[in-house]
Amino acid sequence: MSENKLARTYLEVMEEFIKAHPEKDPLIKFRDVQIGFRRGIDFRIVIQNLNLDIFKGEILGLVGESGSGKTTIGRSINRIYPTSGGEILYNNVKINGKIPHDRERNMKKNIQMIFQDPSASLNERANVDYVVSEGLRAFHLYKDENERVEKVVSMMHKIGLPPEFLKRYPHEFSGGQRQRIGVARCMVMEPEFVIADEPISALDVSIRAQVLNLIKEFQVSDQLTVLFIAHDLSVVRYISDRIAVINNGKIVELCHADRLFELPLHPYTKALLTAIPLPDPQLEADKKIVVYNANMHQYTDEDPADLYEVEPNHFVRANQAELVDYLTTVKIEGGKTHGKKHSANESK
Amino acid sequence: MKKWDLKKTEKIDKNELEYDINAPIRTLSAGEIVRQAREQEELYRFSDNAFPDDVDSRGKDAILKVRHLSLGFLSHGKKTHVIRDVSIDVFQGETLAIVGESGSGKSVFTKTFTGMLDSNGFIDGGSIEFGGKDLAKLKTEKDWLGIRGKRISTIFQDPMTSLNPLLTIGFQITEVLRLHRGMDKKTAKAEAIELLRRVRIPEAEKRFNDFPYQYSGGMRQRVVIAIALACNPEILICDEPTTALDVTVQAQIIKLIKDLQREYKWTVIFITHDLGVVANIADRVAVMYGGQIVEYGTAEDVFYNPAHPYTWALLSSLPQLGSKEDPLVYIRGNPPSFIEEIIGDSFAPRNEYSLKIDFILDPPMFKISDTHFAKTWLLDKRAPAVEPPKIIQNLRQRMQESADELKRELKVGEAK
Repeated sequence: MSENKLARTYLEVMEEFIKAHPEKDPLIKFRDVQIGFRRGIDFRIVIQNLNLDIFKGEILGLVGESGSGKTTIGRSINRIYPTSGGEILYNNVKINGKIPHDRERNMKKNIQMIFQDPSASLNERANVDYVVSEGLRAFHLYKDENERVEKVVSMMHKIGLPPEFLKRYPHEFSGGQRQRIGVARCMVMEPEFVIADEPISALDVSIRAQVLNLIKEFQVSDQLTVLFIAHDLSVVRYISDRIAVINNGKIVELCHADRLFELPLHPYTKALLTAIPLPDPQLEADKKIVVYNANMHQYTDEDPADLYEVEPNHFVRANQAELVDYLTTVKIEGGKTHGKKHSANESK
Repeated sequence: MKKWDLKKTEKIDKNELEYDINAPIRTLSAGEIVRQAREQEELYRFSDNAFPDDVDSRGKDAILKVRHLSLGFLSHGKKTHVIRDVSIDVFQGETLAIVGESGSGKSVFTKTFTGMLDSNGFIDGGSIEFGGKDLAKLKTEKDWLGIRGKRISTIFQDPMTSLNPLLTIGFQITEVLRLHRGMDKKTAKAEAIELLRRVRIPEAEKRFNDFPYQYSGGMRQRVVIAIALACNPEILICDEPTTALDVTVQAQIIKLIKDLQREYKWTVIFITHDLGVVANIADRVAVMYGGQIVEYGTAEDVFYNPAHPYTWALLSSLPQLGSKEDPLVYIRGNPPSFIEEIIGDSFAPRNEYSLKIDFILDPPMFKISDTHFAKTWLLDKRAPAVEPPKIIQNLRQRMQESADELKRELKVGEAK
């Protein structure tokens, strides 16, 4: 480590953290992960040098626009997309690349997914009973028929649908109910980790809350770990503990959810924040939308960008020049908001 | 309190109407009594501040006048009534937002303006006045040609399905120019490139011969706007133009529509299910539920002083307003099915604030101010006073605070 270093990089921080708190070892670790797609002879790298940790019991929000690679990251975890480099560790066991068959099977049981479009992801020709218990069958997770029915029925109660609906088909349900069935199908496997890939983007605003509340309930009751992928920061703020903002395949800011709204540093985060529509005509009238232009960064080979820690648990992608700016901003502004928060808490 | 006998046509003392906020209506026998109560239109007259028959125009130019429009669909030999007695004015140069859940009839309602109802749909009452014509009476395709696309244009939700994937972007824009404005190929091309530039597509000449799949979602929607722009319509109907798009792109598209509207003096009808989106663009907001407009007013009226429980529910379910400690609010139940006849207020079964009367009689429009109207019995003089949910009280103040904070943060960043 050079002496005039301004801040530690993400990897250094994480290494130290894990050494100091071995009991808080992350459930999922990305280390220098590279994901690419082959088209003909062309090999296009979408994600490069991804480092990310997901801790046990947290909801990590992954936010970015379409094409930023957020779905690719999610799908690389459960092996839908193959990685072309680096390691993805689940409970400190490698789960990408070539792995033994029984490890893959175990991983597939414990890592489940909720998909975006509830009408496209449910089998139109299978009734709810079949949809929900398909995974149970595949992994022989029940001793006899009674136990299977018991599991499915109790799951239906948990998602707030009457068990009579088990005989119905997906087209008979409304969008919110269908997505709840999607959640049931995922949760009946009693997974340790869930990838929720834009689970509410295709839903009406008025029923989004049902699904959000449901995911949150499961996180609390089952100690579930969730990677919540979305393009809308306002939704992610509500549900997640930490938020990773991703642009063009790279994490540009990683921070606690509330802190990200208090002190956004990266210009792309600011662009996302101003894009949130506010339910207030007067504010909207004089709101200015920040448009992010990726060319504003002058990253060179001598001064490359990396994810740096600007304050505890707040990481921003920057080169050395930008890092100085961010650090001074944190120094001026960080203290202020901290103080304000503090006094607000005391008054309560 | 005396139970009122609805079987007789005798006048009913208005003070005898029962209001009980906690009593679910199931206790009251439905059936015959209810059906006859509906016929008792006299009941409407009890409400002193109930809105009169006609819509108030405030002396503005109404470019489109909808009066008592009802329409339905024939399916499996059954008639369903999807739009029920809707009256509204669209003023020259304004942006009217129509907000509602899926299945509230908002898309179907605006499809009647361009004659794009499905073949089993029928208008069975009311009128749509536009440019001296009654659009509800138009029958043949020929009648519609001069209006659809030319004077009233529509932008649809999914730009991928509204563009032909087999034709180039350039062809699809010039087609409109040649058909509606009679241009030759060369001038049409020049005009089309100009239009693409107007909707801020970079390097328009180069992208003229591209196919839709080569464009991103936001760009495709820009092309659709360019096509709508080609005929310089008087009314532009935007049917959920941003629902399929990202939040950042959504903000840009809304800004584009707003800028173009200022430039071309369009009248815009903006349909969405997200009340959060329309605060930016709307001059007036109409909230639709169960095939009826349940509340309308200026954007300020609806956002700062919402009166209908459905508007309350829509507003409070916005995740922007949610706090981490409490579960988010959502609207229980499903929108009404149109297959069965709706008795009383269509929102009543899902409404936390429903009164007994809501299950018997459809409320009239009540006037709150000169610009603000809502269709709920809560506004009746005899109704118990009800507070809107906490989450949307002081909405103005709370939004201001959070916005100030954000602005401050952004400024700090910019100053550096």
